[in-house]
Amino acid sequence: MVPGSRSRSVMALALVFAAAALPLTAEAREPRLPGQAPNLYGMPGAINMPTATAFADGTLAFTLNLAPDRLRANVAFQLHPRVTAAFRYTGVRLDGAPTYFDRAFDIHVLLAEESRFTPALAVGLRDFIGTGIDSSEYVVATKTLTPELQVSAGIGWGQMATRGGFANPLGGGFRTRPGGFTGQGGVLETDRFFRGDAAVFGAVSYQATPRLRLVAEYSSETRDAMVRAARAGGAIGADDGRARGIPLSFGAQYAVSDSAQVSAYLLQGRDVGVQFSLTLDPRRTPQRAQHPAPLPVSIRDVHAQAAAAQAGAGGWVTASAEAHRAALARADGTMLPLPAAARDPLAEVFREQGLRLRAAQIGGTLAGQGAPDIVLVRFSNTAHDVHARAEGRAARILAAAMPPSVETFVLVHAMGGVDIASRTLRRSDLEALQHSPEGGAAMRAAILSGDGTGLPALAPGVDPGAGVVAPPRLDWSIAPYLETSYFDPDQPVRIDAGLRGTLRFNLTDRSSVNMIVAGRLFGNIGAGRVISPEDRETLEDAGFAVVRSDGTRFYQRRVAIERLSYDHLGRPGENLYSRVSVGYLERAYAGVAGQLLWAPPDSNLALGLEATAVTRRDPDRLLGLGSYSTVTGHVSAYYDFGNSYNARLDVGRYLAGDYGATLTLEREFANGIRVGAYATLTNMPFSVFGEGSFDKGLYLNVPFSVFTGQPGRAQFSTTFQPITRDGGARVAVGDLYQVVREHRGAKRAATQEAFWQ
Amino acid sequence: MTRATTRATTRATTRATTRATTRAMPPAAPRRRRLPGAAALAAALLLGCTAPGSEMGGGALDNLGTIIEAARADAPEPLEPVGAFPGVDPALIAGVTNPLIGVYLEDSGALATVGMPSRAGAVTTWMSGDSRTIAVLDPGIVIATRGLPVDLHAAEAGSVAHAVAQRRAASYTRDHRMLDSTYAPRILRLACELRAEADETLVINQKLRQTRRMAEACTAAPDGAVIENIYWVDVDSPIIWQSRQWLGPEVGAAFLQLLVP
Repeated sequence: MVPGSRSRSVMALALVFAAAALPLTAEAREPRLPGQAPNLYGMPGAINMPTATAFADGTLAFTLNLAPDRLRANVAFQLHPRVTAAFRYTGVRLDGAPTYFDRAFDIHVLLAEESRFTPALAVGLRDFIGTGIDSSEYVVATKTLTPELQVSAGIGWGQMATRGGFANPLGGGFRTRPGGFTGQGGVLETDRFFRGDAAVFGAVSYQATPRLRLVAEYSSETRDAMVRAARAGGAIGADDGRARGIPLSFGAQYAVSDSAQVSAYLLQGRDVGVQFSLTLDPRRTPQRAQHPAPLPVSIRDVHAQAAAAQAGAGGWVTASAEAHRAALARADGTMLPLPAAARDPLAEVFREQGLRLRAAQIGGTLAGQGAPDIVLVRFSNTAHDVHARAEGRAARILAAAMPPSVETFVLVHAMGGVDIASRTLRRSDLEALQHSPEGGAAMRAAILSGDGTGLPALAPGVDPGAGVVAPPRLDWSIAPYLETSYFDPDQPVRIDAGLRGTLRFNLTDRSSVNMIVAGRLFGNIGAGRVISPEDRETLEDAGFAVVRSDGTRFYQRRVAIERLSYDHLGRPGENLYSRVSVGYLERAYAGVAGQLLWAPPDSNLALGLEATAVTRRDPDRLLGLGSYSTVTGHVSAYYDFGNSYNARLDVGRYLAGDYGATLTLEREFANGIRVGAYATLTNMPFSVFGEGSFDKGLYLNVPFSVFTGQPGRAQFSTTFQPITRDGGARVAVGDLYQVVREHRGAKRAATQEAFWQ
Repeated sequence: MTRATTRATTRATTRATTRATTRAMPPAAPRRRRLPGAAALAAALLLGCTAPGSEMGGGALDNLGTIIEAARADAPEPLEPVGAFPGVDPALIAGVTNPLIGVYLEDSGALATVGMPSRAGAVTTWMSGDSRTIAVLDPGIVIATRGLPVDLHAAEAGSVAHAVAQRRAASYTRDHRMLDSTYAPRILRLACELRAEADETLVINQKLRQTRRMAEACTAAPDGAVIENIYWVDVDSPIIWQSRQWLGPEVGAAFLQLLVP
């Protein structure tokens, strides 16, 4: 995710539905509805109204619903067991007027869980930022009467009090609800919360069968009131006298699979609505990775095992970090490349197991014998969604291939010729733990992790290039691409599709020249709206530059060179990683970019330093440059709180010349699903920033393997940035942290079981 | 996508797991696997071409968010099963002298014979020609699978193995571990009762086997599901000749026969 870049994704959201439909329906028993299915706002609730319930922790719920006059797409995330957040995009068409598009954020907090005698209690804000056609607040209670029957009752404000409203019970200061929005919108409208009239609502749900749930609700909203009010710019909160239909709605939710639901509704006695939803509960979904099985761990002869373990000094099983370090130190300066006759078959087995072997060395010596006792392999993981699985497979191959005297395995994750991370383990541990029910935790404890520096060196006089399976000097690929841009006021989703060619010329182990060319076959991102002349003037008068708000201009050419750069990846020291890129760095900027990262493998903290000196490219010419040049720089801190929560703070100077900070909060699951939100506040005033006031957004990253069960490392990622403006923008050149993040301690702990997969 | 059975099933999980083989070890040459239906659509949009031996996608640019990594799945294609089971065509395995078991997954109808055992302590891991494995603890309790639609990740089964080997009634708890989609173990704790039911003579691969039928009834926590396993144990030695063993909620039960010990 690169904050400030244009909303883009490899695949459209719709494809998530398509790709998920098949494998996720492959259930061995009758599908069941989740404990709580999303309502028409994509949130825990009945039909339109909320209930005091929550999705299972970590659930990602995508919903799409259609009624005669509106369409809603929601993405909701259970970001904490008690907190649900959602982003929604609504298109409403009333009275033949042009479609009105609106973006909204919701938050729902379970204050108290249900007990035997007391109901669950929740409070929530719907559409609480910005213009708010659905702007409302509520408090709701839910009680489960029998396992099948659940009732809810609540009180709502705002849009949820547009039918049957009464004077606000909170008293005088809360009696009136301001309309409109503050300044440029996009900020919390706190002076509106719980203001104006209030009204009561209620709902009943009945679980008829595991697959079918019937819901009915008494609604306290008139669906069109807020839209009319927002359009008229008028005060809101009171029944506008246009309430049509009856306050009752009815619906049925049906489980197509454990994760897909379809629902139908009769809304307020007059409209029929349908909803499709995909509710991904990570805990309820079994691991379906359809990899061929790993090789069974070959067990050495007992005597060989004992001899190797004893000669290796240290314990029989579960070697200590000291023992590992001693073995590495003993082997320093003794390593020899494996002869090609042995290496090539090894490389072939690595390839079959989804790994690419780059080098294999053996060394060390058993006391009094010439037999090697350590093997080191450099490889990259090409097929496995988590590296622990790749490591387990590499270890199993070595157990099958290495002579019995070899006791220590050193597995080095390499990227090109750069060592990124290392794992040192004892073969005896592997043999002892392979069928242990607690093998995941035990093996992780028995592995020494390193950052890929300080590994045993080759014997004196050995050519470092000897025995290396070098990648081809020239490497290329061509693949179709799909790029999306969301929330253009004229067209909510714009799509470009075409072919993207990538060419890499490897200069050395660590440096290469890279070129990426995109050829658009069809699409309309280039026709997207750009900043208005008035807004541009405001921005420039305040001393800032237009840097992203006319970004669609860079999509007008049919052929674009997205990158043409010299890139160097380096390891300047222990726990340090560096990257330098020079050239055309992205569609809109060219120049120099450098990054230095400090990331000890077992620390929760990593620190980064990044600087760029860039010139804006000329959107009308393939390689031409424009006149705007600037310097950006950031200091970054990355922190992993454990239990899948992590955060990142970037402080520095942004593209438009503004200074400020970006805070990113993310939840990352072990399988690679990441859901995050970011916000950037800079010294650019809200009035200068324009619509939305400041840059913020949500992003979502889902590996395809989660849906398909097929081996692979391809990912679907997308950023929902409500408005692309110029404040808080950065050069989209890539982030070194993404190179190391999967090797870090928290990720290893979360994926320890995959070592045995 | 091959559907491996005559059994009617509404599920898409079928995949012939294993297959008769007496070949020497290394996994079958990888072939490209066709992706089913909608997944193929998604993959088709992503599939591109790369230079032979390309490092694209595994290389430095991967993390720059600029490359679509092709969904290149070098997984072997599932193979067709051989004949009906039990009663694999005797002619087919008559001459086989290497150890061989027959495996039939009741729910999916997948069926195969599996050989190439490797021993590690009291555990034998059997591997099929299409690289699926089943690990069996002496005298024949399944403790892990790899490559099935949803695997049995690990099992603690020492108690049942001991009691079955002794052919005596017992009660104990044991557990089954599956992984959820975030690689966290889902532990199913089984509270079991094992009892001897009757002596039976089986014909397996044209040989008579005198067995005692042992029935194991387990209740699974947390969801209370009831599981029934049956083991046909040799009356004289600790060998399970035939068994029906529940592997997990998704895969269901497996029927196993020791065709060639």
